[in-house]
Amino acid sequence: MSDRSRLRLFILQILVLSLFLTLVSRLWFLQILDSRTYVAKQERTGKERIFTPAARGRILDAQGREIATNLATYVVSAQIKEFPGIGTKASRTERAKVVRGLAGLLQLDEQEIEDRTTLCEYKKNADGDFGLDKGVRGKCWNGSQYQPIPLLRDATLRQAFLIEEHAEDFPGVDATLEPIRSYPHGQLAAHMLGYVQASSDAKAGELAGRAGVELQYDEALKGTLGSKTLETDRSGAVTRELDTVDPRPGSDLVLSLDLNVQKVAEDALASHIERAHSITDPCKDCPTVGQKLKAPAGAAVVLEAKTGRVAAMASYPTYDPSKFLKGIKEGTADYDYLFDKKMVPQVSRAYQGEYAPGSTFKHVSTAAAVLNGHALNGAYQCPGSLQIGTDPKPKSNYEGIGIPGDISWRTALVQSCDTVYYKIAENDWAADEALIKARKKPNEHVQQLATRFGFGTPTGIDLPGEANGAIPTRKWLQELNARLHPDYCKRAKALPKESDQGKLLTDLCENGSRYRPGDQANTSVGQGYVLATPLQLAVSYASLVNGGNIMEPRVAKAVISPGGAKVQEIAPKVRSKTGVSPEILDYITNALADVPKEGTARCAFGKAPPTTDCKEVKYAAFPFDQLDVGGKTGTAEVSKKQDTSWFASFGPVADPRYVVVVMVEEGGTGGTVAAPATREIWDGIYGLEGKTAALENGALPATLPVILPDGRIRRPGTSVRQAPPVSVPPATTPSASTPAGSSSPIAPAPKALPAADLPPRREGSLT
Amino acid sequence: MTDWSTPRSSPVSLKRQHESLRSRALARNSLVRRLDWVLAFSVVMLSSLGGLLVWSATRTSSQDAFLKRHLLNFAIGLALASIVALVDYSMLRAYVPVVYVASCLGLIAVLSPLGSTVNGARSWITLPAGFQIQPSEFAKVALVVGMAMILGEKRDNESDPRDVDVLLVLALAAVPMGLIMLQPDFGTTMVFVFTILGVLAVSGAPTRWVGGLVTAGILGGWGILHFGLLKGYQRERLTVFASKPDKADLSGAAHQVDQSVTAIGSGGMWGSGLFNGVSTRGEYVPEQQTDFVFSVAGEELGFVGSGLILLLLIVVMYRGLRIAANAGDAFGLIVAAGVSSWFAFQIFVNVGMTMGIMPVTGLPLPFVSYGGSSMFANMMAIGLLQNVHMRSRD
Repeated sequence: MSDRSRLRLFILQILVLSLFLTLVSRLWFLQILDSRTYVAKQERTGKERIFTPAARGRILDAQGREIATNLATYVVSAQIKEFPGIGTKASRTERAKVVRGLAGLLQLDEQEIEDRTTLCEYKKNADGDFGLDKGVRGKCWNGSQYQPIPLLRDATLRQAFLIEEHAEDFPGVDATLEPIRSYPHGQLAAHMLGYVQASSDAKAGELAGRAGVELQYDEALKGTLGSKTLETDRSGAVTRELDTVDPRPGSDLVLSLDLNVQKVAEDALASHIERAHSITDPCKDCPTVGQKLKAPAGAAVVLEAKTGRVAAMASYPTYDPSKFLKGIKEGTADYDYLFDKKMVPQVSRAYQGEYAPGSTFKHVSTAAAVLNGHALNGAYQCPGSLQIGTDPKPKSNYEGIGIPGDISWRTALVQSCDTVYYKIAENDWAADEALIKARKKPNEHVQQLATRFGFGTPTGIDLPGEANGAIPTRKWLQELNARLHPDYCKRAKALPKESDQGKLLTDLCENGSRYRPGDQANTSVGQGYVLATPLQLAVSYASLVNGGNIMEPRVAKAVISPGGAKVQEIAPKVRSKTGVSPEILDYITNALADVPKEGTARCAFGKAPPTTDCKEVKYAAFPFDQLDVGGKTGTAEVSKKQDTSWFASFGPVADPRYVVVVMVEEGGTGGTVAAPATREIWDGIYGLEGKTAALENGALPATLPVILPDGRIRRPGTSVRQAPPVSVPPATTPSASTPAGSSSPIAPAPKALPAADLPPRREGSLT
Repeated sequence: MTDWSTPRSSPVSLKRQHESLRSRALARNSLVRRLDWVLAFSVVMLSSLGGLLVWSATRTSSQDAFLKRHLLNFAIGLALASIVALVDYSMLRAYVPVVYVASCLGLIAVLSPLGSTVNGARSWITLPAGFQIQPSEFAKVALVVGMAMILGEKRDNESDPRDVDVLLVLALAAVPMGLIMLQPDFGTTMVFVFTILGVLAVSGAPTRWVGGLVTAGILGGWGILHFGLLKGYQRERLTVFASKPDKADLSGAAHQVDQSVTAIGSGGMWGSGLFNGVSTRGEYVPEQQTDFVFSVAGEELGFVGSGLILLLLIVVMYRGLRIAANAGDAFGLIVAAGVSSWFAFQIFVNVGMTMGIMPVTGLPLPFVSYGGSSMFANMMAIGLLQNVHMRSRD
């Protein structure tokens, strides 16, 4: 061989070697350096994750009664892979036929089925697309094409049967058993429960809490979705299941609420609102004189005074939370009712509604006055009316009735004399103005104490969307005016100067930020800018009778993991203290104890009136010997509306256990509607006047209900040992036999999760 | 009647017979001794691994049908290789014209109504009973031995080829190349070009020829692309590797490369395990049992497994070039260099294409890819290498 050949052979060897090094380095780059990218890419093209629903935790009342639970219902769903597409003419015809058949059987709109079975993002693959149009976002299915698309969530057995029997008419359509939220008591406690709706991110049947405790405790209730990872080939067919994760059911939620008390409260509220519609507005100097009470809405709160636990909370009008499960279509009667802008039935007026509390606010102004030099045993004047500052009209008592001579704080509270407070307010205002002139901070005694009583800030209850309420200080008014001033001036310009509205707006435009003596007078009687939720009022009355603790109210008592394994108690919390001395608190409490007996609520509680006859309502005498109830009426004036009727009560007076507050919008005086409604609630709780007691001994259970490993519920205080034999693991036996009434009757965690109380979800045709 | 008590032959004589067989087999100049066992082992390993990969690539839709066919092809290939290896040089030289003419006839038959079109190229002759032959694969063998005949005859007196020899070689190659370009099969044409270049270079042809041909090749390739002489699909397949996959049509060659690169990349160091690759099982890479078989190796066997395949392939190359260097005569040198050049180019283009650094051409991976004609031609080439090896100087 020539040297030239040898050399060229060597060059060829080098060339071949370099080509191979190129290949190896490229391989290194792809498989070692950049592998993650390609694994992720393969994940997107070759794998699909579908989700299986987890049973949502139940919601129980304090006695362990189910308020929200799950039912196994037939869910009719479509598998997009097997459902006819709109690619070819033949499949279009087929699709139209199937859609028509389904619409008829399921009582659904054809277009709706059409939209729902259209993928938002159709996947293109080697064989082109799947023949599905790109749908309009929101109407189309945004989830995986492997995930069954639910078409009807509560199909009847007959519908499910027909779908399965005529499988050839409904290709890709299945009826499977799935858990669906159920509220066995209908509307009862709706505002506290809230409701659930299908989660928007299109995961299998997952429900998301949208209001109430369903929203507040959504994380605990919802559990963990199960999932299946499917391997798919390039035609989109499933080749195998790579990995299956079982769903984990959500935890159960125990509320402090008692369903019996809740029912009592809701019934009392509804019936007295109904009754109010036949009562003539008692207000003699109102423009609505002679008209019947409108009473469109109201609220009731039953709070455990010492703990701040909510025993019941009602709001009228109410709604059925199960209406949201199927989704509410615009234009239907349900939609019109639920989204009525005037009635807003979804709003809980108990903690989301803000109202002037009227005279029910006087426990604060009385305490403020006493704390600032107006002696508890002093003598005060109660004229029929009082000229305040430069107000155009003197401010008067209700119906202008005064009490001659010296009166005590007790009389001022029992008869609800406003002018006593007006006088003090005028002096307070003057003193504060002097302080401001001297470049000092004004005292604003009433406002300061009201804040300490919890007004003006949310109570911190474990419910979403709580209202603030309002306590007007000078600073607060300036801030408000800064926001509204331009609007006042604009509107004032548009109106004739002589008209009442024009005068008011012109004044607001010019002097809107000025805090006048009249404002202070209004504040002292819970009028003017003062706003409170019925719950805030209840919390403040609880502090009056529990020694001054402002409790952070709680609806939920405990979160119990499935099978009762783990119990997370939700303890009541003292948020702050009012700092008012027991002497003052006791005085006010004792004075208010006489309101139902001889004061402004006497008519509602059936005592003979000393000054006027109770012509509008006639009630038998309340059995004060069985239950001593005290309280304060409120009749709050609202611009252009009938008065708001309030009654804030507590009982038994000697050692108050509950605070009951009732508020009725446009319900006239506190004594007319709110007080009788409150009386009915007390009757119901304790079983007075022929009623069945909602609570045994009038007490809420001290312990929690027990969830057994199999998911059954034992009432609080029941010994687990008495229960019929259940498969309790041996390790749990010692604590399972804990005697009744023990502070911790919960068995320790069993090793395995109990079987869900639902029939297992039938596998779809995918597998 | 059979007498069961008496053995048909005595154990002693049997043993002696064995000894003589073994001693003959291990004798200094025996075929067993002279065979290139490293090359043989590499080829068997590659074909076996190829069998597993072909199986994995096709078992989703065809169970083990392709595996069986692959093993049958390999067995036939082994027989062909043995025949080619054992045939005497002079016999081989005598058959060259026959082989050359036969392959040219085959290539003509492809263009006749006998031929059928697969993936845009008219490369196949369909035989009865579902068999298909791809004559261009055999044409590679014919080209190598044809060139060896022309250049080898002259080289016996150790003189370098003259211009006339070079022109003869080009004329010899022109006929099958022209027929293959008519199919059109761009990949095989390029294999021809690279093989001719390798052979001419190693044969010691004048540098101006080698340099000139390289330049002509580059200019020609550019011209073909530039003036749109290729069919649409060919052009797309060729240019795909230079463009971004997301811009190109996902249903064509770009999609194929994209899926192949994804499959290989997802394999990582150890791979997903045989039969366990998501892309492979889902048949995401079109032609994953033939031209794109390396994507299966990449995904399921990872860097370790596909690196091993590359290693085995480079062993085949190295042995080929070593056989060329040690060839006893010019004919052997040309044959070994030709086969090595052919394999080197084809392997680089095939593996490079699956990893997105070379254009998509219809070239299979030698020994690993599924395909009868390709397996037979490759095994015949290995037979040629063994033949040269056995007659080499040491």
